[in-house]
Amino acid sequence: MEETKRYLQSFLFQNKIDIPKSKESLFEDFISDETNSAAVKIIKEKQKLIMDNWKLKNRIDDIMQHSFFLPNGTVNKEYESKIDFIKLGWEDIIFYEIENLEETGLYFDTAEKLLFGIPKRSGDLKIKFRFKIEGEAEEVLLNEKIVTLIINPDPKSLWKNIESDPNAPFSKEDNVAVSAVFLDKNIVVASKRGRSHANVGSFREDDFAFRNFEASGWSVLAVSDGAGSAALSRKGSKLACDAIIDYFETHLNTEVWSKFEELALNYHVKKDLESIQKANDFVSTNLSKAAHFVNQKIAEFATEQGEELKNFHATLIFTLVKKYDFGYAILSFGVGDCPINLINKDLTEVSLINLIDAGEFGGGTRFITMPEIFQNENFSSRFGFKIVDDFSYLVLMTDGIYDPKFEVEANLEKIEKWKAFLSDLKGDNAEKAKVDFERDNAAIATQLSNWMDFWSPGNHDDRTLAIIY
Amino acid sequence: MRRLPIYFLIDISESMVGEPIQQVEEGLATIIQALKTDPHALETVFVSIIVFAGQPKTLVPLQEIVSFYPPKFPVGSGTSLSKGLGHLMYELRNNIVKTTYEVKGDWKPIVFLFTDGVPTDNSQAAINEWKENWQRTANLIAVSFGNETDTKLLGQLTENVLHFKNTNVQSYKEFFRWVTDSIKTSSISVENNSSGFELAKLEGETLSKIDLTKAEPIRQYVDDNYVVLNGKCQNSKRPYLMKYRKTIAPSIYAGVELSSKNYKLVGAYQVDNSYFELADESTFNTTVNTEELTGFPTCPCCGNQIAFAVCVCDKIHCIGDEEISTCPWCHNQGSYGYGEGGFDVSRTQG
Ligand SMILES: [Zn+2]
Ligand SMILES: [Zn+2]
Repeated sequence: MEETKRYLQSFLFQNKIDIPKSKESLFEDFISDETNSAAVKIIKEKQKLIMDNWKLKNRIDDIMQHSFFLPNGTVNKEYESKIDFIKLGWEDIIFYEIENLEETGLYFDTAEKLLFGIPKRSGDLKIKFRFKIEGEAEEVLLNEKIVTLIINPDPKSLWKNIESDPNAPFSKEDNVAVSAVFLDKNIVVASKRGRSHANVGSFREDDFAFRNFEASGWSVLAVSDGAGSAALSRKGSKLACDAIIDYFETHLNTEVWSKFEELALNYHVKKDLESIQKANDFVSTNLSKAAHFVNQKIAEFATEQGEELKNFHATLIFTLVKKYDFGYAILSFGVGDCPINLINKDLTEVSLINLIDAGEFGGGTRFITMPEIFQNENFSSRFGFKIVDDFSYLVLMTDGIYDPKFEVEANLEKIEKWKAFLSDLKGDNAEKAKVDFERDNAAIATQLSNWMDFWSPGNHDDRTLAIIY
Repeated sequence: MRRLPIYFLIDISESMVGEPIQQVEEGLATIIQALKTDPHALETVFVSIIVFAGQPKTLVPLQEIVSFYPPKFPVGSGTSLSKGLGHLMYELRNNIVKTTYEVKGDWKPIVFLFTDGVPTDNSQAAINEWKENWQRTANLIAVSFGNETDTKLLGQLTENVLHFKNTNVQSYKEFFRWVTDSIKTSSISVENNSSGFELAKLEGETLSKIDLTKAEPIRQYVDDNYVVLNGKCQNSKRPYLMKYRKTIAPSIYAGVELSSKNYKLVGAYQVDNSYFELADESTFNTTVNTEELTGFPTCPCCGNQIAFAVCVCDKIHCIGDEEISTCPWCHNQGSYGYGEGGFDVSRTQG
C-alpha cells in the first residue's frame, strides 16, 4: 500500500497536481481502490520489464561491439586457439555455437571452447558466433556475431619462378655450379638467383671467377654481388670478377712478384715489426692496383655503353693464394658486405680476413664502382695477408648466404657457428641436403647447388658460396 | 632477417569521426591484406599504428604482418601533433634496430603521417627534434586529409607532403592502393640494397604532391573546418559526437550582402570511453552559437529523438519523452523545454 501511495504521489506531482490537505482522505480512498493499485502494479511490472529488456539489449549490444579477435593462422600450419569466456567477461553466455567452418579445415570443440585444425585456404574467414545470454527467453533467435579469422597464405606458395630472358643484354644463367682443382686443393662454387629475382624474371646479380696460374703458382678467386638498385649490376659483378682474373693474368709473372717470396718468408719466420710492415705494404700496394684496375675497367665499359657508372654497382671480394714450402700465403681484398673466412686444419679456429661494409641500417654497403673508397681512410684495412701451414676451408660468400646462415658479423668469427654451418652443409638441415667434401666427389657442385635451395623467410637474395677445401 | 618497419601515425581528432576514421580503419585492413599477397612484403614488413588526438597512443605495437589484426580506431579530442610525434620518436627509439657487429639491423623505417587538420598545440619543439634525430634515419610521408591542413608545418618534417582529396569511398580506395604500392615497391627496393624510399607513382586527382614553396602557415589552436560537439547518452551513459562541417553561404542581412559561416550536420556517432583517455587534458573554452548550426541529430546510442539537450552544467546529453531527465554528466534532474533563439555551447577542439 505504502508503495502504491508513493508511486501515485510522484506521478501526480509530475503532472503538476498537488494533493491539498482537504483531499487527503479522498486520495487514501483512491489508493485503496483495487483498480488503481492493480494498475500501479502493472505499470511497475511493465517498467521493470522495460528496464530488464533494455539491460538485456544493451548487454547483447556490448558483446556484439566487443572487438574480440582470434589469433591469425597460416595455410597448412596447425592452428589452435581457445576462446576464453572468463577472460572475455562473457560468463553470462549460456548457449553458443560456431558456424561457417565447413571446408576451412578447422573444427570447434564446444566443450573445450577450442578452435583447431589445419587451415586450407588463405583469406579472412567470417566465422559466425551464435549465442544466447542469461535472461533471454527460451524461444528467441540466437544472437549472431561475426568474428574474423585471418588465415595467412603460405609464403612459399606466393613466390614465382620466372626464367630470365636469355636474349636480353648482359643476360646470364640463373644458376651455375662448378668444381675444379685449386692449387693442391679443390674448389666448389655455386651461384644461384634469389627468389626476389626469380619472382619477376630478372637476372642473378651475383658472380664469381677463379683461375690457377700455372706459371707463377698463384691461384685467384673472386666473388661479387651486384647492387639490386643498379640496373646493370649483373654486368658490373661479372666485369669485376673477370677484371681480377685479367689483372693477375698479366701482372703475376713480373719481377715484382718474385720478390714477394722473400718478404713472405721473412714475415713468417721473423714476425718482427719491420718484416710484417714490408710484407703488408707489398700486399696493399699490389692488390690496390688490382682493385683500381677493376674500378677503371668498369668505368671504361660504362662510358663505352653510354651508361652511368652507378648502374654497374657491385661489391667485390677476392683472394690470391699460393703454396710455398713454408705454407700457404693468403692475400685478400674486399669492398662490400661479403665475407672471406679461413678455417684452420683441425676446425678449432676461424678468421674473418676482410673488412665488412655494413651501414647503420640495412643496405648501407659500398661498391668497387665507388671511386671514393680509394680515398677513404680505412682503405688500408681492406687488405689482408696471412701465412698458414694449412687450412681446412677457405670460404667466400655473398650476403645471400651470410644473412640467413650467420646473420651478423660477430657470428662470422665464432667457431661454433662455423661448426654448425659445416654440419648444415654435411646434411644437418630440414631438407636433408648434403654436400660431400671428398676429393674425388664428382657430384659436389650439384650437391652444393641443391643445398643452396634452403628456405629462409625474409632472405631472398642471390646466393653465392665458394669453398676451397 | 631484416625487418622493414612501417609506422602509421594517424590523427584521430574528432573531425575524423564518422566516415574518415571508418575509411582509415578499412583502408589499413586492406593495406595489410594486399601486402600479404606480396611475398617480399609478407616476409619483411613490420607494422605499427600510433594514433593521436589530444593524447597519443600505440594502437598496434610493431609486429610482423602475419600476426596483424585490424584494430578498431578510437577518436579523441584535440590534435596534438607534438605529442603524436613525440610518441612516434619514443617508439622508434625503443623498437628500431640498428646494425652493429652483434646485431642485424632493420631497413630504414617508413612513417606515414595522416592528419586532417591543424595542430591544436605548438609542435615546433617536436618538429625540431624530428629534424635533428630522425629525418635522416627514417622516411616520412605526410598526407593531409583535407584542404586546411598546415602544410607549411608538415613541410618541415619531410619534403614528401601530399594532399589527399577525400571526396568519396572510391578516392579512399585509390589512396590506400597507393600506400600499398609504395610499401610494396620499397620492400623490393630495400631488398635490392637501395637505401632510398620509392613512392608509388601518383595518378589522377585524388592524391597530389604539395608544392611546399607555396604553402602558407596556418596558426590556430581550434580546427575551424569542423564543429564537433560531445554529448553523453542519458540511457546508456555512453559518449557520442555530433559533427558539423563548415559551409560558407551568402546571406543577406539588413539589406547588406554578407557571407556567413554556417556549420551543417554531418552526423552523430557513438564513441567509447577511450575518447576521454585520448583527449587533451587542458580545457578549452571555445563555444559555438547554435544559430550557426544547421540540423540536430537523434541520439546515436539509444535513438532518443533529441541528442542536443544542454544541461545547467553546460554539457550535452540526449532526452526522450520522459518527464524528468537526469543529466548523465552531473546527475542533475530536471525537465526540459525548447530554448528560444540561439545559445552558446562548448565545442571540442577538433
Ligand atoms: Zn541516448
Ligand atoms: Zn549536467
